[in-house]
Amino acid sequence: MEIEDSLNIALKGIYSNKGRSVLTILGIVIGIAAVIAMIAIGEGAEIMIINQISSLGSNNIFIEPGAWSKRMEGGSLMQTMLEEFEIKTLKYEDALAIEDLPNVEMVAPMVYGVERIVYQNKNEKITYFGTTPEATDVGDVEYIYGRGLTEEDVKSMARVIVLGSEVAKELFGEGENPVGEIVRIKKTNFKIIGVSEERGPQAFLDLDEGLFLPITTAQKLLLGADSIRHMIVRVKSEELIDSTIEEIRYLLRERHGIYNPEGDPARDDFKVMSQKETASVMSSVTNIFTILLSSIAAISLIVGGIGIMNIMLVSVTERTREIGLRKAVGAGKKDILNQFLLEAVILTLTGGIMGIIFGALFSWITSLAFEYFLQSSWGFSIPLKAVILGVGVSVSIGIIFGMYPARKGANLSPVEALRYE
Amino acid sequence: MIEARNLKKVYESVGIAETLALDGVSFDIKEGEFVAIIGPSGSGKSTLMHIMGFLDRPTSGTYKFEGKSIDDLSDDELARIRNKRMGFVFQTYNLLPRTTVFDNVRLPLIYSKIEKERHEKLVKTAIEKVGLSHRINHYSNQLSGGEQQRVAIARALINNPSVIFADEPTGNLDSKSGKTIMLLLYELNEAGHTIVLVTHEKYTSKHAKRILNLFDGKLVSDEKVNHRLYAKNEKELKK
Repeated sequence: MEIEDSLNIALKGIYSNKGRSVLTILGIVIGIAAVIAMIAIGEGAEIMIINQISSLGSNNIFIEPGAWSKRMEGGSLMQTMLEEFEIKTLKYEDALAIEDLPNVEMVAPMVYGVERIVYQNKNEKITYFGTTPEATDVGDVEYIYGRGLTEEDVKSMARVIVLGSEVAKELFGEGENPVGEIVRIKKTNFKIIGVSEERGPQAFLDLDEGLFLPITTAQKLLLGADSIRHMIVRVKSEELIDSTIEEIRYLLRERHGIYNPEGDPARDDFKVMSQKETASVMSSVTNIFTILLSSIAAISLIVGGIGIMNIMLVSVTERTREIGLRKAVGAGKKDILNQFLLEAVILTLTGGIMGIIFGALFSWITSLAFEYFLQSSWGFSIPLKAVILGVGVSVSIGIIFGMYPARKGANLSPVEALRYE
Repeated sequence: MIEARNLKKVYESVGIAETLALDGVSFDIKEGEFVAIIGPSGSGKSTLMHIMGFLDRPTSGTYKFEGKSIDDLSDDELARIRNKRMGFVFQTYNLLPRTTVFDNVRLPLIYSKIEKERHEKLVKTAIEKVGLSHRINHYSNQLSGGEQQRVAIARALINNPSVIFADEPTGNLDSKSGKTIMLLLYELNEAGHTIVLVTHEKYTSKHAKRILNLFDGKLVSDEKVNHRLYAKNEKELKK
């Protein structure tokens, strides 16, 4: 039997039940669209995060507290991240010591947390960033009112804050200059010395919704601890990164009293990563989310496949006499099997192609929305692997869920099929 | 050509006593014969035709068609022989709905090894033989019962089979259309095809050359028709 004939028969079968066929493939369309959209959005997020990390400059080194555990290389990353919040091994003094290394241009240590800020009868929940002037320099922060933090503020543990533009708007109203006003955080008075310019949300920080204060002040009055969350070390030139990383490790081991002559990172109580390594850790995070979300979407494909199986069983039953006739005039088991399998695959493949189109459309609209709200470039892309996956999965669903009904039809005895009423 | 020896067919269904549809039937049919199998409903004539047409297998006994025993052949081999050597005409026509006359007649060819280029000519010749050339592009459900049965005969003819099995071919037709069908079968027999006709109408069976009479699964008589009816005959048509 020729392909062309099989195709004609299958298409005729589908065409004679147009409404039913359309409803049946809807499940596949939605499932494939959801998977494609999840992959495309995940890919877009990854591209955006990597772009933002690289935009910070390629001669940066990140230092975080806590050891490199095996878990960092996949596995339960969320757990590792939560545990890290409790690790207090990195100190402000470490930052000062690193700053004295010859290759280091500057060090920006940072702590952060969430508190309520109170002004008169209004209050807002905000994220505060305890930092140094260097950190705001690294991030190119500009000010619409007042000034930024100074070395003096950090040294004197001054009770001063720089508000994010959104927080200033919420507490004081649009266009008002709040510099000089006093606000309360954790029962302590702080004087506003500036308002930072609107930047839109970034990959890691939403500065507009937060505020800056000297790192020393934040440690003493808000956190009650002398540890820091992370620091960014800017090296004088890119070629010096690898040697500086080694110097920093040596220095920190000495300061923390760690005996580690083999340089096994698992025995340290800190992590030193170059720009590149940070990007790869971040992309492994987004990958996990992409896989998680697309697996959830894939469940709908199973549901869609069961729908296909159901409708194919109906189709086989309805056409029992036709099967009997085809067998009587010489169709073999394989001919009948192929006819119904082909019908199922055409249904799911059509659904798959429509799903790819809808999924792409949805992720394109999402990328436009993200670009509008985040005001940062969101890398829209439909990876080829997603298209191949979509086509492959939909064809496989057709074969897997079409096999049982098709076999049922193929194995009918010609006499019983002809007699079927 | 057809050799049946002590054929038995037992139907088993759960909860019901087994039914003996055929109880030791033996006969031979030679090439060029026109045999009618008659008997009341339940006598086993349809079961017999299904076994003769390789659509079903006997419970015991031997059945050979053109020297090939049904027991030696797989389901797919039976399908190939049905395709090449047998034609079927059913009481309910069994045409594909929403399908043209051309495609209905062509159906056996798509399961055969005959090259595609030859299909059109073969189909047209077969349709011409049953006198439906003017209906070739009509859908099967647009035709009258008699016309549908002629399409079914064209379909049975398409592979030039040695035998045509007709199961109550006139059962659903008025007498005029029925006669047209019997005339066609007569002509096919004259052209060299062996015809096996299953019917419960004594009148129809008299178009055949030989009548096998079944009762309760047993062959009760096997006789030549002495006064054969000819549907071709003008006088007979008026009757």
